[in-house]
Amino acid sequence: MAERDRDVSSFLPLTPAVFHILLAIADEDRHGYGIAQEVTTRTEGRVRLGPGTLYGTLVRMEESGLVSETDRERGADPRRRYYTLTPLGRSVAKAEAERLSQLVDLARDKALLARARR
Amino acid sequence: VTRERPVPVRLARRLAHGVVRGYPSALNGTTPDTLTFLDDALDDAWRTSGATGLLRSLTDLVRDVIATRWRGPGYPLTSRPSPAANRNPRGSRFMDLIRRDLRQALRRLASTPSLSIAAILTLALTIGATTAVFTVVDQSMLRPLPYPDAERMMVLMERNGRGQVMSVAWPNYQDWMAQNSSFAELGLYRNMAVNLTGIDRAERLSAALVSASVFTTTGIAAARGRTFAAADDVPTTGRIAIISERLWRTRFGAREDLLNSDITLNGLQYTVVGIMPPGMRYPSRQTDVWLPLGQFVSTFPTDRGNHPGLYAVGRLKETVSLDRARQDMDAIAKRLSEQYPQSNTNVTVTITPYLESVFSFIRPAYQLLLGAVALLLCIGCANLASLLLAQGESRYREIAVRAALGAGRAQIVRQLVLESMLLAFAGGAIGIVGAAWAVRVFVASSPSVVPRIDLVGLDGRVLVVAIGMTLLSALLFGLAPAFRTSAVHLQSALATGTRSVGASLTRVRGVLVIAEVALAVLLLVGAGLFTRSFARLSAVELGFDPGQALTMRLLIPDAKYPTRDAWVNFHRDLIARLAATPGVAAAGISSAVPLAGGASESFVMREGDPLPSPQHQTAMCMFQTGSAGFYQALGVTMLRGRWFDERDTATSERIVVVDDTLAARLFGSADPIGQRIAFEGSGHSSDAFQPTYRTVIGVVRHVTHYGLTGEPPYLQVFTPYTQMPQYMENRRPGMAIAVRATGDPDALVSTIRSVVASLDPDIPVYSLQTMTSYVQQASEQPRLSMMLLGAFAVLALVLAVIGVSGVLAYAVARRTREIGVRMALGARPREIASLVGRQATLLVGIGLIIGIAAAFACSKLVEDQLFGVVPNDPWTFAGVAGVLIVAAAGAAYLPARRAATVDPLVALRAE
Repeated sequence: MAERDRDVSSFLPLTPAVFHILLAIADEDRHGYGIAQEVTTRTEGRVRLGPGTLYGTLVRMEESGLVSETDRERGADPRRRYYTLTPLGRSVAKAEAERLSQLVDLARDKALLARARR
Repeated sequence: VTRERPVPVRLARRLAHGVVRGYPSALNGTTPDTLTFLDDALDDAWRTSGATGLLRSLTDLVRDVIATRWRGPGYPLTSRPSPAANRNPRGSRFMDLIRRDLRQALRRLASTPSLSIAAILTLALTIGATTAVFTVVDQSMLRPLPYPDAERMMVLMERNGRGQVMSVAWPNYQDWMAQNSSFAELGLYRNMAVNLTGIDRAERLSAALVSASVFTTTGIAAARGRTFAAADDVPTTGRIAIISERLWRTRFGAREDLLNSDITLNGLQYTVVGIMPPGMRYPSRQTDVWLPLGQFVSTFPTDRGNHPGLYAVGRLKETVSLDRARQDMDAIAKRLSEQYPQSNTNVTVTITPYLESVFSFIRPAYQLLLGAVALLLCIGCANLASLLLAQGESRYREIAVRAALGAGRAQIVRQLVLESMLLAFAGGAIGIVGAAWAVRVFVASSPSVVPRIDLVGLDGRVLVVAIGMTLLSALLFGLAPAFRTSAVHLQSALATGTRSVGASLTRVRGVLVIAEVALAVLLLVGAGLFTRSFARLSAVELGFDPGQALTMRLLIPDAKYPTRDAWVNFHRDLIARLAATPGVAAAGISSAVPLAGGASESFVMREGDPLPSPQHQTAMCMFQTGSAGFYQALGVTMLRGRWFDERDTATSERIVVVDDTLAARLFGSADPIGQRIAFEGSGHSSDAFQPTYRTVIGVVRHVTHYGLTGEPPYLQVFTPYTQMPQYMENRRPGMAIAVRATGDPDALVSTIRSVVASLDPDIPVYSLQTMTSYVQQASEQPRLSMMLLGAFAVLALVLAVIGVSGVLAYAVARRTREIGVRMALGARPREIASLVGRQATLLVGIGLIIGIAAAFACSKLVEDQLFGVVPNDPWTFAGVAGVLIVAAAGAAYLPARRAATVDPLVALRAE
């Protein structure tokens, strides 16, 4: 597949919404509304994805091979589609996280950010 | 698992599913997912935060739709700069500019959501109501009828010395034809009903007996075949018929070969010679069959005192005015009265323009409606102006800053106009959708009082008017504040800040709100009066008990029951079988159904009184014939004496039952039982005239017949069908059946049908209707007026509350600092809240006083349409004042609470 061959770094930097979506399904497959909810909860409501935006983005991500639909349990409602991370998607998310982490470290070095707040 | 969802969720769902259509087409593939998403989201929102949650979800959705339209569906995956992203073709610079302005405008509107939503709602309500009413009025009244030159079409009738309008005597019509010089065409018609048989099921149809010139008067040609010719006006014409396109399509499958083949009407073969296009709705929109006058000419009474339901319709000559035609016909009538004093003394001709005759009945209601719409439009405009002023005001400082930073005046004006245009378009779009829905609902309810209702549908012209209104309101309210605020004196604005400028604008808003309240009061008073009037109407003494009574009509073809005995026997068998039917408490037949329209009238006199003559006018009565069971089924109250029964036969003594109004009028306090009266006679010249006397055997309570309002003071007589009046002997009436059910009357319908069919399967049963629905129909027009006016009044009240609340809230926001200072100095929350209350009282109080005064002056205009209520009904006025005070308290509550809960620390720290 052409997507497989694509260099992970060609996706970076990810747009924030795409990164959020990848994070939302990193630990667990979710359907569209589940993704939107997860993103809203994790960002304390700062990022809210409407259905059009979400599915529009998901379609692109699917075409680029970042996510794929699972045939796993469709749950109570057969209309729901569940999405999962592809290996490529996982690598891209990881790469983006590393990139951001490096940036944050840089900011800490420059004392823009308090050091350990964990 | 589907479980029943609460109404707000279902409503929000429906709305959301509508909004989803706004997504760009690139997202079409994901629509099912989107719908699932929304259903889940709405359920959650409702569970966690109720109605506010739903509202938030919906606004989020709209925002998402706009966002996807704006930047395309979804986000790009990477924010890495790509050559494509840097491309900026020269040609799209202008579009970019517009885009930026639009985006900015949208952001502005979204930053003050309550104000924007209020403005959009105001626009939607105003434009929606106006468009809906305009559509109905335009299409049923203003749009010319399909007849070319319809304004030259005139309906002619005769009027006797008492001012009563009558149909036309056959010999008089012939003289009009010969002597008039005003009409290019003059035709004659009579409405009738025919039975269509010989195909799958028998059907009773509206038909008209017409002369050839009725077609030439309307100016409508046959769609297929021909209309009647002059040769069809004489008895030698063949048995031919013309049918409507509707009948041709619904009953004959639009068969091309129907032309020149036969159909069976009233048991006789008629050759179809023509098919009329849908535009032909004369004499009535129900007419499906036209038969040539010639076939019946020989049956027309040749006596000038006999007015056998014939009506004349003519087309004025191009050169003749209505006044000249009236003079012409008056002269003819005068000649006839000199020539035939016995029958024609004081008889005149009335000429009514056809359009007038069609529309006069509903014109007052329409004018009322248009007035109400105009008021609502004013209220909506005032509200919108007030809202936009508030918005302009709150942006005073922002605009000053932008101007200081070098924004040109044109740019600022453009920005402001764009914002109000966006509001206007959003409101207009919702309004038009709402109007289309309202018109559809209105047509579906199909009130028979509105002419040509079946033709009504939202059309292009109406849309143009609505869009014109939308644009106008956008420019008007957008530009005025735009110039006002863009003419800001920079220095003073920057120096003083937002808070203290625009005091004069606040005053303008106050005046607007007062006007709104006053106009709302006017509408509320109107609605109140019509509601009271309707309540009075519903309490009218009917003289019968409609509950559980079911009526229907039969048409007995003369061809099959040619003799009186056959006719009577059929009905006797029918009554016996109906009475024996299980579930029937009482059953019978009658020639007239109360409130169903139509009746036969005649003079009425006591035995020994002088005969009726032009010199001696007698009382008039309405007569009918039937069996006692009919009136018992209807619950007519017998006050004294008895109903007719088997003892009363064709050969026994002639008897009659009268109503209490007749008893009082002819006999005063004396007992009418056993007295003799006459309402008909034999011989037509006065010397030969012999009244036919009948003995009174019973007195019943007066039965409301023509309508609930304006019942003419007529007297009633009831005769047994075995002793039918002579007038009916000549033309035996189609009888109506009434049954009183022991249970649900509707459940009896099929049983009654089969009872009739068991006697004669070729007799159609039609006009099946409960008496309850006749009573409802009789109050349809007032109910329509009440409901429409009520709806407008509620809208007006809502707008006024929005207006009052908006002004108060804005005042509180402006005075937050002042309130903070007062509280810091020891003012209690109650005192602060009463500050707001005082302002509310002032606005509403002045509005109320002006509104009540205006209503006092205007309510006389609707006096004619009220029943049992005086236009200045004190209860209505008091009720309206009460409603308004409660509404005002509601409008003041939130702003007052906000004022009372101001935290002085926060208020003083701000700014």
